[in-house]
Amino acid sequence: MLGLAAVPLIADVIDEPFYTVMFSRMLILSIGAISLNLILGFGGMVSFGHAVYMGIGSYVVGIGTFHAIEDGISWMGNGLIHLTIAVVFSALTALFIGSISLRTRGVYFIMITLAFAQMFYFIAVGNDNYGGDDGLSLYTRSKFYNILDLSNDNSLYYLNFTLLIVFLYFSHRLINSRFGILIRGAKSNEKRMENIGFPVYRYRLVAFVIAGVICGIAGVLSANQTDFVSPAVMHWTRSGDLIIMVVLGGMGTLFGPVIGAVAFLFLEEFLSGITEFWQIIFGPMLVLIAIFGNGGIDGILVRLDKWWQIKK
Amino acid sequence: MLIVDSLVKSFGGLLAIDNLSFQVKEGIIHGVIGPNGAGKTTLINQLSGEIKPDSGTILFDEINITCMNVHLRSAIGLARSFQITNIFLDLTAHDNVALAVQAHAGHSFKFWKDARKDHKLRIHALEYLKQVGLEKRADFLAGQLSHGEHRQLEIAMALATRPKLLLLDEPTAGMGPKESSAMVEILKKLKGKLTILLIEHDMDVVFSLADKITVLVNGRNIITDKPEAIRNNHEVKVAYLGEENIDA
Ligand SMILES: Nc1ncnc2c1ncn2[C@@H]1O[C@H](COP(=O)(O)OP(=O)(O)O)[C@@H](O)[C@H]1O
Ligand SMILES: [Mg+2]
Repeated sequence: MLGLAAVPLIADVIDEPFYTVMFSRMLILSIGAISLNLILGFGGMVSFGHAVYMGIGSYVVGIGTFHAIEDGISWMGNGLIHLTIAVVFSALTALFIGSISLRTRGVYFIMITLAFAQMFYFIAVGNDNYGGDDGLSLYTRSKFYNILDLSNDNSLYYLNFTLLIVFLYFSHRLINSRFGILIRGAKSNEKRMENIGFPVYRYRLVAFVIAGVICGIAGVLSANQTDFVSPAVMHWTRSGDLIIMVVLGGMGTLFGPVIGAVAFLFLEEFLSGITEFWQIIFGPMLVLIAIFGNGGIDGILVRLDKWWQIKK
Repeated sequence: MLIVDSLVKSFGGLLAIDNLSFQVKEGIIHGVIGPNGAGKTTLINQLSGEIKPDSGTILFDEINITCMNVHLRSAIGLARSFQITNIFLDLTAHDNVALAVQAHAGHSFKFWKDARKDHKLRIHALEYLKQVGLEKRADFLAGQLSHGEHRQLEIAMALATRPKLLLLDEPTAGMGPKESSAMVEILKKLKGKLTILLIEHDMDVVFSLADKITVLVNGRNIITDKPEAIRNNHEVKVAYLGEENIDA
């Protein structure tokens, strides 16, 4: 973690700003994966539409800065307003999607969350005012008065880094709180939880909303990072990527999603350098990790650590 | 306190509960006996809300709970144990009971404080573990406990929800004689503190505990009476021993 704090410094010294951008992306996707892990890893809710919130956060920034520049409405370029609106819209969307999908279980839940996500995807595609299918380039990033200048990639990096730490700590608190214990209990035995008196549905819904909100914030960061928003950010394959990161890193572990996001982007970068058909290698790797890596990379690390201690 | 009226439940063509009516009075242990497949578990599942009856009504404390949600039934004072142990094996015994305490200690929209260090939950949970004699096993994972201890833990969890009516589905199932009599002792201590509907296969257990007994055969209430009367009842002997084995 501390190593991550030094990335921009090192990148500056070796004069490779590309690394700052790449690691910045890792941080943002880590936040997205952390949010999904709350419901998927700890709550057992396999949402296949989590990228929707990434899209909402992104479009809030895209549309806001578009009007700020185009129509000179300066408050629409304000980063705090972007964050607030992204939080509100993500929460409402998650409330809407969750209140319907959480009435179902298993494959039905997966399919419904996927269907809703595709619905939002097509709304974005059809919205010609804001670029439709082609998306929208940002001519400016979110403005945080004079305190924080996001046009500097290093500042953006440290904002991402700070928020990642904040959300990691938050999820650490959450999963051990009464609420977290309840959500985890419902994952392992929902019927029993109902039976001892928990109204499981409403707690799951709140967890679903919390996860959506955090991912919406990641979306705000993401749009600033890429200076571009398009419907592709909420394509179902993006939701799939988030699931892969969570599973790869270790479902239901605190750091798993971060490890997963970092590993995912490294592998993508590395393998796509070898061959353009990198997914042919990536796919089987995932299968192997799913089969042998009980608990993802985090699980493998824990076992290696144990093995090491026994040897000593 | 509990009034079951004309309850019917069938699974496909099989009539598991056949127009069943009976009442449970407050403060007693009411036994329900019957051969395997008589519909005892199916009855409990309907009382606790796991399954919905085809017809008939269930009144609990004058509230019609026939179609009420499982968690609401828990809120108004119904708790049950399961015939097949149903606990959180990857949590400690203490955690299991604390969870049940939490369910009845206000809402759980508490996102910050560590629930495992929440003294209110922990202390109460330990009390219930004591009541079933498991306090020394509090910090063991439930998965490490013996079968008999699992059953005790089930009871502790049910008690932790502070029920008025406790539904027990064969609490001594699969136990040896020693564990079984320990369970009887635990239940004896509960007698009078709350109402218990005790489903049992083991006749000795029922007769040593129950104030009243309902005999269930093929989903029907063939008799509800005091234990002494049940013991000498001809129909009960037929149901349990078969006609030809009864001495004249
Ligand atoms: N979910 C179910 N689906 C189909 N048949 C069932 C189901 N549950 C119970 N039964 C049948 O209903 C009858 C009563 O079962 P049960 O209530 O478990 O009996 P008991 O607990 O008295 O041994 C049995 O014949 C059983 O096979
Ligand atoms: Mg049974």
